[in-house]
Amino acid sequence: MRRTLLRAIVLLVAAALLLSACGSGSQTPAPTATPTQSPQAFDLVILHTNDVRGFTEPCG
Amino acid sequence: MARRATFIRQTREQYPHVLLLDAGNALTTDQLLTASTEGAVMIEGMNRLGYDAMTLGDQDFRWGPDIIKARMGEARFAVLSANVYVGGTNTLFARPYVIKEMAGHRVAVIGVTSKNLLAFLPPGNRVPVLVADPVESVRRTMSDLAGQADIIIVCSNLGFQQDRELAASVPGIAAIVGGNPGVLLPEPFREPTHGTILVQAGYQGEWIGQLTLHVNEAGEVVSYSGKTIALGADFADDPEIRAWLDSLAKP
Repeated sequence: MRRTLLRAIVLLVAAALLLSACGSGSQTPAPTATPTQSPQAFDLVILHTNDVRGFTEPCG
Repeated sequence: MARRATFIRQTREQYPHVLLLDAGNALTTDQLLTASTEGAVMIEGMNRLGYDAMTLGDQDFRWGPDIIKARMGEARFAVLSANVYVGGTNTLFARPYVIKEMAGHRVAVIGVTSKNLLAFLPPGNRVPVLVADPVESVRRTMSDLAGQADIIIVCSNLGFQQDRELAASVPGIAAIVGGNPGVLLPEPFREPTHGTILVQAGYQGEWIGQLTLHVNEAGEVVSYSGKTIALGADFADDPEIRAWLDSLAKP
């Protein structure tokens, strides 16, 4: 009886994990941990490119 | 790319918190070196420049999904798209976002790809892909990120007009780094609905954009500045990148 109950619990957990993986997609990153330091004011500098189209050298 | 490397290095020497992003269509090309390697040279160059993330562009898919997957495997940075799926499944083709911690804040970068992708798949492509609605995909991804990110950046291949629509539709995006087909915005554009900042930096590697977000302790963008820099001859080549490119040019 106890063994049957244990097997049912294991199956339920496995099914829940499978459903969760299907719902989120395999590419979904793992959740990020809490920041390692307390938040401070800062300058976030974003350097950005787009539509480089394979150019390794200036075309002009 | 060698001049770009110089500017990137100088910026990193000046500022401690730099994100280096590409908003897509880096791999599509008629350039011999990149074409002959099916885009691998670009990925290697971006590895060397230390990119943090790139979004898959619609035209990158001219190579076909299988080659794009191979390029993704070579990248030492995050290759993103929150709205491209493996056809017939609910599995995303790439990861939807990446999170970087900066000064105690969690900065999430979400990638989103133009629905025009389907028009660029090569003839006879056998790997089906689906492109979901970009606005809903960003909205859903931000919901997934609730409690995990403090600052949201969207790296978008949608084009400037759709970036404006995205900014007006979805609150909570600090900035949209855009591309496609390659608009040269001399300075950032602030979409008034939610105050989202839009940038885009031309095309063909002739320019690089710099957007600085001044963030307070609460993770709020209190002010910003930005510019697009022409990588003209006044930028010296980075010697390491120059040597690498020259080595590729040898027969």
